[in-house]
Amino acid sequence: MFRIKEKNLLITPFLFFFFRDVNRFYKVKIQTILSPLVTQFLYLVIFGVGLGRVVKISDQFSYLQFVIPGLVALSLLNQSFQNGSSSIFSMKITGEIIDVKTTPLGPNQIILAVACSGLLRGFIVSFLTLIIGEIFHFIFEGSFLPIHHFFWLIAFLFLGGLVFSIVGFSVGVWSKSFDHIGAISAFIILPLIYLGGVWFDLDTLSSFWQSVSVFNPILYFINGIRYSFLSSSDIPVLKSFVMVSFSLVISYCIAYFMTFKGSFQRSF
Amino acid sequence: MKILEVKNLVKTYGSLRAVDKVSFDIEKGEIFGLLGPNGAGKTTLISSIITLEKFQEGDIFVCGKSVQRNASLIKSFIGFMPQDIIVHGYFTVKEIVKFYSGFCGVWPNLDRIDYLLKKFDLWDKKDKKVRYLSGGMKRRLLIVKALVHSPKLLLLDEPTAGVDIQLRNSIWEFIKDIKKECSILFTTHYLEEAENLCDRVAFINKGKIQQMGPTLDLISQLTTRRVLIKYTKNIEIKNQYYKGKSKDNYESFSLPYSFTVGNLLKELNLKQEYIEDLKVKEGSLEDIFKSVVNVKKK
Repeated sequence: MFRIKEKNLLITPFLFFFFRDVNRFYKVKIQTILSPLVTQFLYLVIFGVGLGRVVKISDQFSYLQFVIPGLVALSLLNQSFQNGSSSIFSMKITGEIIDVKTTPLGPNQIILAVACSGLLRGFIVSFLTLIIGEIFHFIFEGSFLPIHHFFWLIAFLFLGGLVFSIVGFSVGVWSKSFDHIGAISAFIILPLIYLGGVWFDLDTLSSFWQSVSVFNPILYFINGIRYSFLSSSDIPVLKSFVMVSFSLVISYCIAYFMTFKGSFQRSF
Repeated sequence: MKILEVKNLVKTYGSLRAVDKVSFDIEKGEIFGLLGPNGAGKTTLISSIITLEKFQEGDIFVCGKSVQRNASLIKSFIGFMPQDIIVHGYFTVKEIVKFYSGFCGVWPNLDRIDYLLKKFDLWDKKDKKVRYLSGGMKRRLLIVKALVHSPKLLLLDEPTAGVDIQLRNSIWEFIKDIKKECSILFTTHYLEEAENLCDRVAFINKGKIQQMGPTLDLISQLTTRRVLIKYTKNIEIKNQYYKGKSKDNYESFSLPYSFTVGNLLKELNLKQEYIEDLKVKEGSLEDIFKSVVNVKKK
């Protein structure tokens, strides 16, 4: 009775899975967009402005200028991760995962769709965080915080959002309960983000913690984004870019492997 | 034209052979019933066809293509209705069906989506979130999703489990109706349902197909017709098909299908005034099911 007008097993499933995931986080926008913005606002008030009056990191820029890029990175990485993990895990809880497994969606389409939707959510929250940060900067510094390297900013936002969405995806696939996701988020991701230099300069740490921090991949994201604003960072920007790109390859390989394992097992 | 071919399929879980050298096929436009007790291997078999389970030996072909080498393409040929209801917490009925159509690579498809929502009485609920639907509506939504991409093979895993009589009847009507569009493989515990709907059935137990064939042929070959006669007076009965007296004082005879009731009455040489009542009970798939399960128990 009805003829299929178009059948595309490559682009259409990917696009619809992406649309579905964007729809999902948009339907709970208070939780996924507004709530993190309130948190970023409070960070700016308490740390950027309050603490910023007594903390001096550099002669070249104020603490508020130092913190704004860190908060942009923090919101991007955190929201991308949350999106990736909750996207797949909520499907497992409601049973919707069967729709993914029994339709032509392949591992690459699923990972890329979740990665892109997480990137979008992270990008929206980090962009709004930047706007709030710019307003704070205008009020307390008398001008907007300039972006010196727009290309690097976009590159680090793009790569950071993708990596953390994909890591979130793998965690969502691995998790069997909300406790698992909470534990990974609280004991691994958040400490790495906070110890990655959102609030402080790497030079302020002891030499031991400085050498430990070198193994924290988040340090490179945050420094890359900070360099984009301030033309200054603890780590050379090219090194950060290489490390971030390497993280993307590794996280993608892990995510691909995860789609054939555990509760997300795909047979063929 | 064969829509589905299952060849020597073996699926093991550790030392348990959940599916053991199973082979069968389904022709275009055929309704095929897979029957058996719980744990017989029905769902494992369906899951293997839809690639949810990886099998160890054999192969499955859908429209002539192996599921091991063409998983994505084959899944676009198959509509699958799982046993369990899906909640879909965030989305409305229409959104879910649209997404599903897109996952199957079929877009634009709004005409068919609207047609199916109307056909399955979900049109009025199309903008309602799925979690607020009744159990029966959620089950209808599963059928709509399974059909939205015009599949060539429809897999229904216990489609009428836990539904009321009205919905069960409408699902039966739908299965008969949809036969024109695609072949259907379904599992069920309701043998009356299989008897009414299936062109062919297979009885599976402990992973092996015990009996398989056209439904009516199986009934006539593997079951007997029971004839119950209540006499007005005590008469000694000597007949090879006599099975004894039932609890409600009927004399019971078990006849092969080649032997008619008329032949029996002729053999018994009964006068009409000796017969108070006469009942005929035809054989059914349930009789075969019981014998299949009993054989395995022995």
